[in-house]
Amino acid sequence: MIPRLPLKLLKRFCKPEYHIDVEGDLIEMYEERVTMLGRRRANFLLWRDVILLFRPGMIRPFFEQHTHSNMSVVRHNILISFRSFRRRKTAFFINLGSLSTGLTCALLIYTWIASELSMDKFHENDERIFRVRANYPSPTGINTIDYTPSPLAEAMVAEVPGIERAVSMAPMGSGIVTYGTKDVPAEGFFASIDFFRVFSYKLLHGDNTGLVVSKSLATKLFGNEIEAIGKVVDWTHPMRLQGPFAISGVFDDVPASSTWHFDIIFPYDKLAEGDRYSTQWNSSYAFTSLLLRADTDIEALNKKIAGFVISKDPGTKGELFVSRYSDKYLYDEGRIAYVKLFSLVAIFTLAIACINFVNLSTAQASRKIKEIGVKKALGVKRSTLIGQFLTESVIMSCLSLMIAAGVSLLFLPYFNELTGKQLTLDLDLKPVAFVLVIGILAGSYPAFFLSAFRPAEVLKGKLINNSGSEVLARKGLVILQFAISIVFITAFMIVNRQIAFVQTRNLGYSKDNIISFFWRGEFDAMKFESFVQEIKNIPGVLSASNMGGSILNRNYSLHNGFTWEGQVGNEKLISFPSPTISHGLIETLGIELKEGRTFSKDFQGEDTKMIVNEAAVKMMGFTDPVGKTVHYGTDRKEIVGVVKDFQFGSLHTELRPVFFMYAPFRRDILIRLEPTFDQRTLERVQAVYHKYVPKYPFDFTFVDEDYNRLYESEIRVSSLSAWFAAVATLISCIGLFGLAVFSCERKMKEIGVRKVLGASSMNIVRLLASDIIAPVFISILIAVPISYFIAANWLDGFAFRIELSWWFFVLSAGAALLVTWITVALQTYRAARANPVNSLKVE
Amino acid sequence: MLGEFEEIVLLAVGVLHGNAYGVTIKQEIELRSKREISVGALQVTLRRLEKKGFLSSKHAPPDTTRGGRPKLYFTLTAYGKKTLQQTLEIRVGFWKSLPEAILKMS
Repeated sequence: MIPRLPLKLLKRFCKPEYHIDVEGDLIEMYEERVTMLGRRRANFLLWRDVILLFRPGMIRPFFEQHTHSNMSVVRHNILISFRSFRRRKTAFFINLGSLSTGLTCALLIYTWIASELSMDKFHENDERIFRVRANYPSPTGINTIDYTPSPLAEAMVAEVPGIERAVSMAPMGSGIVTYGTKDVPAEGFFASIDFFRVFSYKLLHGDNTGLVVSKSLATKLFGNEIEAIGKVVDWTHPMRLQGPFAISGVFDDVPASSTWHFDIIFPYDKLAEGDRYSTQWNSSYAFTSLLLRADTDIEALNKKIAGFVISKDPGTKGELFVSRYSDKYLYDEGRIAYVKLFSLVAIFTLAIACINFVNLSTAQASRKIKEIGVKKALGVKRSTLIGQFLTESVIMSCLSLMIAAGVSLLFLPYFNELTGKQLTLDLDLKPVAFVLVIGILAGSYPAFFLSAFRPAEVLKGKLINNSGSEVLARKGLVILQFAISIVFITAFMIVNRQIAFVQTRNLGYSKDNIISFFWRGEFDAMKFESFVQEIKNIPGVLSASNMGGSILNRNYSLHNGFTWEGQVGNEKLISFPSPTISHGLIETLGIELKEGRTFSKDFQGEDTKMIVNEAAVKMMGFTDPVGKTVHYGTDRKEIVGVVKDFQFGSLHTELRPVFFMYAPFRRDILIRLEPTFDQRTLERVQAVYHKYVPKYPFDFTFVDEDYNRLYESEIRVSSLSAWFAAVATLISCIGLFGLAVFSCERKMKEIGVRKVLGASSMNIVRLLASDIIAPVFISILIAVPISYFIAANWLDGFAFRIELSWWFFVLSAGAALLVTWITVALQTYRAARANPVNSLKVE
Repeated sequence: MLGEFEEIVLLAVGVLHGNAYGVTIKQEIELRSKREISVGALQVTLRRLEKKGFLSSKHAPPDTTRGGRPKLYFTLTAYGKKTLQQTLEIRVGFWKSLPEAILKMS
């Protein structure tokens, strides 16, 4: 082996830029010499060569020349920054506190927004995947339906240019997969053959010609995923499809950012086997998605396909159009509004924190002024000073980011609960870069402002009196801060009141102590009758009944085609909530009967009868409704009862006419319990349920909880707005506190003189505080109209809403004033109480 | 004006034509001039010639030989070639004007 020492020596003295190839030459020669001359000779020659290389021209300079670098300046700036933090601890902690609070807020919101925006974006072809929707004209406007005829996908690929592939899909609901003795509940899904080619759900093994199961389902059933292929499992589903199926493939579990969730995929053709209507052009069974060619013009495509279904079946009315598949999550249910809202909240909270930084830095200018004067006199350039201040603010924001990251991590579980998501905090480059920008932005005003002082004036001892415009700017910023805070506080109060209103409003039925569940096993009316009998025998159970759909979901049971004697308008075309219910349902829900009777099993031919609500009676114009006839399509139905109006669905919608029709075989079961029910009651109900439905789990919900879930996003906004209002006000007050501290320090002498001349502490507090609190009054003037506008806008989304009364605004303005007054008074009172001797003695 | 050793190094680089790096240049010179030269002298000269613009150099991608150290290949620049040409012409001019009698060995 080549001796190390000479080479080390060479590395020591040789110019680094020459070293590597010279060493290479030496190694090459050494190896050759070893074979030619032997190791001893080669070693000697190597030593000789190295020693002879030690000559001018090869030796590196003894003293490294420093090329002028900015590193030392940066190092100096960092040092100075930390020293100034240590010297001005109050300012440092105030800044750090407000900035990290603001950043925590922003960071949490950022993770939420990022997760909202990433929904359905994981598909590689995302930009080219579109879904087909249909617009149906109706007297009340246009209804947009996401489902289209089953044959559409295939026909479009064949007939419309610009479409590469098309997939028909349909969610199926949950069923049970049975293999041997194992029963596993699973979420079913229909999808046509190109499903895995259009979407980026990963097919791990096999293909999708038959049944495809998820990795985790396969593991649950067979122990591992590869075993699954070729196995035959039994599928039990309450409505659609039953029987043995062979598994042909396994796909990777659906990611959380997918809006569809399924464990088992059936070929789309299977949908048609159980349901002969599903292949017709006048039905809407398929969620059709298209993979367009990259150059397809969407506008032109929409024009081309608008009449596509109508051309296949002139009896249909739906006009097709396409929209981005990944817009489904954000735009269909208005989630984008919340994304925008919270982006604004994040920006505002951060703005408030930045304003604190700017205000405090400029307010304490007088303390830094000497340092700047000396530096300038010594010939430091202005740009260097600016650099120094910017370094300070960037360090500050980086420190805050670290704290904010820690605090966010702490709050994340709680935040997840609030948002109903599984968010994780990953600090990638974006937030870090963003924080640097924030640091520079927040730091730039003080940097330019402070570095502009003239050294001669400063050093001569001329006092820096804050110029009028600068004070004005500072006040303007305070006004902005408090305006934002007040808007937040008002928003919080109004949202909260509305939620309370919604939750306590009398709905016309009693939603408490009712459990509901979907009967998933075999079902017939007789069997259910004996089930009800057994359930009723359980102590704590009052009654039970069944219906189709839910009292909370108005859209489930919308039907049109109602006609009656004396009908004048086009009500026939309007869809009314018309749920099918069994006997005992109206009693179970506690809807009040006004006239006539409810459905009963004691009467024959109940399916030709109908029960309506007061609104329906009013619409139809009947004075004596019981006994009148209403036609539903070709069916004649006789009104046997009238119930009082009740709220069907959420309070976002108006009270509407309701037509109850009789059907004893529906599977949505409602059970009313006594208010004193306990866990034992529920366990007994479950035992009876399992006697009738052995396979399926008993997953029930409470109707009042389901009702609250209708307002999930509002409740979310309400609890989040509470936090943001608190945070915004807190940060603003921290800033105001800082301003008070410095204004007291600056006016120490003045306070001393005044006290000596006989001013009381209260006088002085008023003097100091009024200066600081005045801007808060102006911000109230600005904030009230803005928050009124926002609140009125938001409340318009409810059919039943609270009135916007003046006291909301007075209260929130009062709250803001009170908090600021306390903050400022605390500080100023301390200054006012100080012994004037101390401040006057010092010179 | 080139020094004698410089001229030889330049010529060696030219002769090797594309395969000129430390070891081959040294071998070439030793082979032709029948004298041993030190790595130090050669390296210093090579770098000086490069700095003057007679040579240009380029690292070859490193491979597994020579301990993974890359070779530094030298090539003549246009200026280098021209200078060699001039040197040759000056010599030839001298030779031509040298009286024949002087060369005759007595």
